[in-house]
Amino acid sequence: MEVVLIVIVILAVVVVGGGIVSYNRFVTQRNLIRDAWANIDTELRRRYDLIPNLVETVRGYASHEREVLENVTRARAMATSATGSPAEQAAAEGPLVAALRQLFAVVENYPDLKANQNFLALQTELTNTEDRLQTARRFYNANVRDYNRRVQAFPSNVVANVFNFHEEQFFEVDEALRGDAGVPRVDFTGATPGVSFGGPAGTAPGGEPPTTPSGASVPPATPSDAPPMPGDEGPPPPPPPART
Amino acid sequence: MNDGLPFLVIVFALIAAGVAYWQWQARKRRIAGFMGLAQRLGLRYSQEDPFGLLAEPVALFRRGDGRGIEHVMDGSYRDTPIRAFDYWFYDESTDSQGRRSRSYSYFSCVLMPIEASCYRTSIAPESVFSRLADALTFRDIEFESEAFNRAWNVTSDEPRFAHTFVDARMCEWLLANGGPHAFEVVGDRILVARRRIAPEAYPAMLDTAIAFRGQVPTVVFDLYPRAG
Repeated sequence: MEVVLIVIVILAVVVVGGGIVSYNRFVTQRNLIRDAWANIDTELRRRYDLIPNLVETVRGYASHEREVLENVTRARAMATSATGSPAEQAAAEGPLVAALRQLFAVVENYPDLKANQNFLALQTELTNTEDRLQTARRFYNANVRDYNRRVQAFPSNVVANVFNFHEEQFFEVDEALRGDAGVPRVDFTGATPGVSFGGPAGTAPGGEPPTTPSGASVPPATPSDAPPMPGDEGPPPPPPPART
Repeated sequence: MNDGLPFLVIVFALIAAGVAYWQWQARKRRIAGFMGLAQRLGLRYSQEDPFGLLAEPVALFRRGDGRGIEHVMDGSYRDTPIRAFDYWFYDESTDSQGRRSRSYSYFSCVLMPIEASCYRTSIAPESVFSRLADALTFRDIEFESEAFNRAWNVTSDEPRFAHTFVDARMCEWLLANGGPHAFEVVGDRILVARRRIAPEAYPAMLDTAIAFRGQVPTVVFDLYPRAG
């Protein structure tokens, strides 16, 4: 009888402990998704803020392209007013991206506009924003994918059902702003001519250890960090010179 | 029985001498191969490592119980500063009778600087072991392309960085051209590594390394600029 009791207690501890861990992981994942969505929102706002300037600049050279300009303005207004779910936001982004693509196609007919410094600066900024937006979108969707998988899979779906963790929506925009008729692609091949090995081995220029964007030092690698490498199981060796 | 012992000793000694000679010849050929290649590519060659490359913060250089670097080529290749070299490490093990043995692993590597400050991220071909590790630790980062997820294993100290670094274009390129290479970025360095190759195969590997660097999305340089 005592043994049975002990087994029951152990099982209960395992189940409750597992449930707590699973619950906490759901909370962490949900917060990560919210954080990732906030990043998308920031980049979308940045894009919305750039569009009025872009429209005004284009209007200065191509005022009779009224319909195209109005389309962009209208689509922007629709997109900025969409404050619902990722799916709704994505649906509102589609027409905006399409309108912007049309605008950039029209610009091709105005060489003076294409050479305008203000326009070029806006175009570059829009390109960068688009890149950041795509990065944020990929990160958001990856987190949603992981989270949804846990919501669906056993046994974590039990915890999800009990504590009302529901599947999250992906953020999928059909049209990409980049492309043949959109913001021009930047070919980065060989675009870092000034790059060099810099300071001593393992240090960034200025003698600082490699740092993360937040300024924290990159910690030294540990054997467990090492990626699986092709060739780990190499042929029997000729003994190399002994050095460590 | 005793009469045959001297004969056996002589046979073993001859075999050992033959193996040693073969190894010496192979090493000589490799050195000559590297010297010729370096001269052809306009690179400097050093039999030893003059740069202390083992101090580079890449994870591969922390593996094993002992390690070394040799045959270092250094210079500019296709307008890119590179350091190409042989790397090896060994794992030591002891059997039940206390006998020690070493198992060696050999790699060919290319190290390049990158104008960014990268979180440690490794991109290596998937294997049975990496799949098992993924299942146990959930450390593999998954991307939108299922084909890519099946073929490549990506781990990173910062998943957000990994999703910035490995975009759709990079996925496609790796699927088409990554081949047997493993890639690691950390700080302002890119390391490309694969199972040891002959010196004459190095130019193709250098091309792969430079092409990989060319695939790095511009947004990486925007969001993670090199410190200093």
